[in-house]
Amino acid sequence: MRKIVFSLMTATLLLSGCMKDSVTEHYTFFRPVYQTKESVRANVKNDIAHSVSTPGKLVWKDDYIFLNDVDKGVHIIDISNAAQPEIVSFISIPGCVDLAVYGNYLYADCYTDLVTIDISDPLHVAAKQFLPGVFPYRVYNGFKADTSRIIMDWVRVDTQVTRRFSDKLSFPDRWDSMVFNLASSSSGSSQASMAGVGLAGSTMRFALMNQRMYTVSYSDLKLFNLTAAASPFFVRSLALANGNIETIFPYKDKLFIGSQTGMFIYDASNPDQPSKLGQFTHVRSCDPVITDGSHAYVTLRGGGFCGGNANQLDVLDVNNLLSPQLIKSYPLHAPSGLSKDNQWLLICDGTEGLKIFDASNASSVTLLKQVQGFEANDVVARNGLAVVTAKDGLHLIDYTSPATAKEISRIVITPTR
Amino acid sequence: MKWTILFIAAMVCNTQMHAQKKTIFYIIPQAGLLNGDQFVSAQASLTGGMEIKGWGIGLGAAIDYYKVRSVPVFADIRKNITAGTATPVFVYASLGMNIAAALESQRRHVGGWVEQRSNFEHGLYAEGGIGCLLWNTHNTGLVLSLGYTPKTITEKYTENIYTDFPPYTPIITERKLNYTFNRVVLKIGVRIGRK
Repeated sequence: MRKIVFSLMTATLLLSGCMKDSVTEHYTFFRPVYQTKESVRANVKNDIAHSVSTPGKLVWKDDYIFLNDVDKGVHIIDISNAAQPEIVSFISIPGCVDLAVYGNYLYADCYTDLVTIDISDPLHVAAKQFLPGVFPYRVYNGFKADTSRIIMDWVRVDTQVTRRFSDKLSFPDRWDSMVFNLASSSSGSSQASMAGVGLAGSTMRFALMNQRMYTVSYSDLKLFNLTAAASPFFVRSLALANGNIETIFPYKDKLFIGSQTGMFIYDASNPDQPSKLGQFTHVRSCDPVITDGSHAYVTLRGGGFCGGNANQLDVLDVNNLLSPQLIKSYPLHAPSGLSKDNQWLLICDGTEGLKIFDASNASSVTLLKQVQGFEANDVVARNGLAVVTAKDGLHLIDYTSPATAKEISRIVITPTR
Repeated sequence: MKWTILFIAAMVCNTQMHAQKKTIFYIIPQAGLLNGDQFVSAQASLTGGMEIKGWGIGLGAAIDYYKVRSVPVFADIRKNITAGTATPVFVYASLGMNIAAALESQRRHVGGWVEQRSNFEHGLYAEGGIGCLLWNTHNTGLVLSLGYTPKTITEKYTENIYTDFPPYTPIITERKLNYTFNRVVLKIGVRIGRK
């Protein structure tokens, strides 16, 4: 008996050393395709006009719409005849997601660089300057862009890997960390306070004011001096302690900064020393903001990477910039970009299209017209014409008579991914 | 699995009808020590069946706590290789389904703002080894056995890949992990047999 027990125990101990657990893991990841900075810069130039694949942010200047094709460049669209918009040119800017237009210059991000492009002749643009590494925190799925090479594309890879599995499967109460990236791709309208400044959307991360360009990233505000428009230079960077920054909207000498948890007002009367005045906090959501000076309009969109469940328009009294007060909230479907033209407030409301409100009374913002048939994302509006970016393309809406607003033309996109 | 159970059931019925005095019905409750890859755990099992001419055939179920808790349900066959000795030695083999019954703490947290956990799917269970019956009196005695037992189980969950490139929408993908756990099992139990 003893012999048997001893033999079994010994065998157990000896054999257990041979036991190896394994796991075969099936998963998907995206692999970056790199290019050198030199070749990327050499490609910043005019390309033949072609269809839009992923509409991003837009700037309206004179008779042209500068529409970002996310990560690819900027389409120049002639809307002098709004009934027949025409893509006249394309500026290839790899890695571009934000832009601003000041005079004859287009400022755009080119991955981690800021590029200045002379657009005085939209058909023959010329890159004037690259400011390298001014946007170092552009994040790609958890890792930062290489300083010497640039990610040009991502390739989906479905794979399986078999490995030894010596771990214990145990997950006590905790949350796995998640990677949230800095993408922001909706819009609205900002008031230009410099001559020659293009009208930009409410979800822009670039804002022009007093010969300065202010840019926001996840947790900082950067300042560029545009006194010499062809060769801007970096001035300074301010930490925005609250983080989760999404948008910046300039009004006179104030900056309205939208974050996922609130709106912050900065005084930029000293252009090189912006200072915080007040803030308004709200539930976690995506949050573009615009203002007309006395009121601020904030759309909150829940779900997605912003989190939260709120889908509404908050109207705030900002007469006292130190202490913005909520006047009223209005329920919406899935709002994103917004724009204001006189008393007309235009809001992109996801699959419910573009909604036009009469906002002459902030306590009673009333819906006048809903233009449907597209998933609206971003809008800039002035003088009765609204340009809307949507999932399926660019839509031009005539709202000279808001109650009978209608779509007059569109440019359909050609998705590539 | 369904056909295996039907086959065993048919065998049992057939044998019942032609039962002879040499048929022994038995149940074996056992406790097992599972030694695996840098991990030790336990198992409790119950096997029941009948023995004819030194061959035992039966069905069993267990609860297995190794890494991911599961409930193996299996068909069991065993052969007495030293019939007539005071301490009969037998070899045995089992094959069946490994029903996933993971503890909440074994399901990983997935998702961001909404609480979600991974799910487990059933796998296979097998066991084979050698043992002996000690203090065998009237077909009842103490069973000691040593075997090798692999079990497989699959963990699945969806994950959102938040992209910083077009179309910027989260891409929902499925992550699947097929685990194979290899263990040495040392079992002790009691065989209760009746003619």
